[in-house]
Amino acid sequence: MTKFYGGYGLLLTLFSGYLGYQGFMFNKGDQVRNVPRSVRDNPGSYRSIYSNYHRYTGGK
Amino acid sequence: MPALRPEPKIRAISCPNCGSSVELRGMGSSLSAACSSCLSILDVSDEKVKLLQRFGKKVERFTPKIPLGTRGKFDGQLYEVTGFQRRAIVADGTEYCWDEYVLYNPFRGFRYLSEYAGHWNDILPVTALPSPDNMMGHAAVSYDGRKYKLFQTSIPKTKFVLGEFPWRVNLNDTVTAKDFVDAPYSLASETDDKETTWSQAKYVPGKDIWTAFQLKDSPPVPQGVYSNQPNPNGSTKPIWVLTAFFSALLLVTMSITSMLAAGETVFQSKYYFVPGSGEPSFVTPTFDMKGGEKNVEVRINTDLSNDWMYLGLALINEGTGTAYDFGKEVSYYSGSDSDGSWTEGDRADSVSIGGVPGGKYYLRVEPDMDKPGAATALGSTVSGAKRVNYQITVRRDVAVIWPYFVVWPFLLIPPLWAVIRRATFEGKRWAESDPSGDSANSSSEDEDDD
Repeated sequence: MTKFYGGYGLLLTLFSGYLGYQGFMFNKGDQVRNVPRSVRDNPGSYRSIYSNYHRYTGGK
Repeated sequence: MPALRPEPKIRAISCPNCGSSVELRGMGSSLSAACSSCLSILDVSDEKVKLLQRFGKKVERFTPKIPLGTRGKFDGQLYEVTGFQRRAIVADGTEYCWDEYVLYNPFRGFRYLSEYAGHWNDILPVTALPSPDNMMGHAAVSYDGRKYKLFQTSIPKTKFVLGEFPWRVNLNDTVTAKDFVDAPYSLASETDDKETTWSQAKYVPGKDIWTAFQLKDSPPVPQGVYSNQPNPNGSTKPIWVLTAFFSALLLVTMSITSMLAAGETVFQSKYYFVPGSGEPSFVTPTFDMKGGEKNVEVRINTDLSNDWMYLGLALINEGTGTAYDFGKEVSYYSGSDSDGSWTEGDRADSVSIGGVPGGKYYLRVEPDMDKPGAATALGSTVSGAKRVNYQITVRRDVAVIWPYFVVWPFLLIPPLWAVIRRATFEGKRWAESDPSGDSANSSSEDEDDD
């Protein structure tokens, strides 16, 4: 059991160390490819899937 | 050349009851012996053999698993099996029997073996009196640096004897026995109307007995958990030491990776937003993000008050045209009521995304909030023009510590599992415990009633 745990613990530590070193995040954002260069001049032409966000969340 | 040790001599006597030959292997150390033919018990303490007990044909016979006369090595010394007895206790109306073997070495004296349901113990008389002790409110004794907890009080009865004994054995003799346990050891006291004797036992695997006596076949498979059977799960201390080690290692790793994270601010700028004042979306100047795939944190600081703001964000790679779409709501409310003052939310918040390759990027920002004149979810109306000032900060390769906090509970699973397994075994052990001897007393009372 101790030998198994030694390996198990080391594996978990290495794994978490790797994720920490990589700065891993589950949230990758939503990738949209081939966004036209014209967005730079006309930002309103880009339609984000997060646009039109209307909701009330606060207040006691 | 060392002198050869003489073979132990076997003395033969005639049973005064049936005339059969009774072999005595105890070399004058035995006080009583049982005739293997008629089972009469004889006083063999001196040359003139006397009959102590005689039985009819009603006595049930038992065959010892280790035949009398068998020799085996214990602690490097040769011992011979000279006696065998079966004893029993009655608990809650059920009879539990076990076997005891008398072993003799003319230079070492006597030692004993006991066997119950495949569980064996090597027993030696103790050389000093154990001292009464206490173990978390439970009766215990201390002996030889170990503390033994009271396991059972019982009234064993001798049911069958064969061979020789260093005491005057009698069939149906009873004693009051107390068993104290500190696995793999146990201490037992046996009290009759004349004296109290103490002995120390050590749990021995059946295969070791079979090896010592070079017995054929296999030892009986142990059934259940015995009082001083070592916990097969061992101590949990080594695994907890490892847990502490890995926890410390996680902390060190977390510190190192946090220090290694660049956390570089690649863009920062202040903006304001007036809802309903035209196209809200805009793009930031281009900024450079170095290195391979790293995370990106966008931090938003506002001067919101009892309001919310949502920022639709798209991090767009100028070179590849790949956009990473995400968003963040920031809200801050405060007030006071009968409970006192309260706040909810925060004026500043952040959002992070991972796996963003290096390159030249710009941020498309689309702020959103309730427009003046619009009805809010609370039913009130937003009145007058409003303006929110906010700052956007983009940082590259920020330290993440969540993997360590996610992993740590997983580190605890094996030690907790070990604790549960060990506790389960101990639970089975102590489930059989009867320190007060209530079950034995109630059984004897039942018998009395009958």
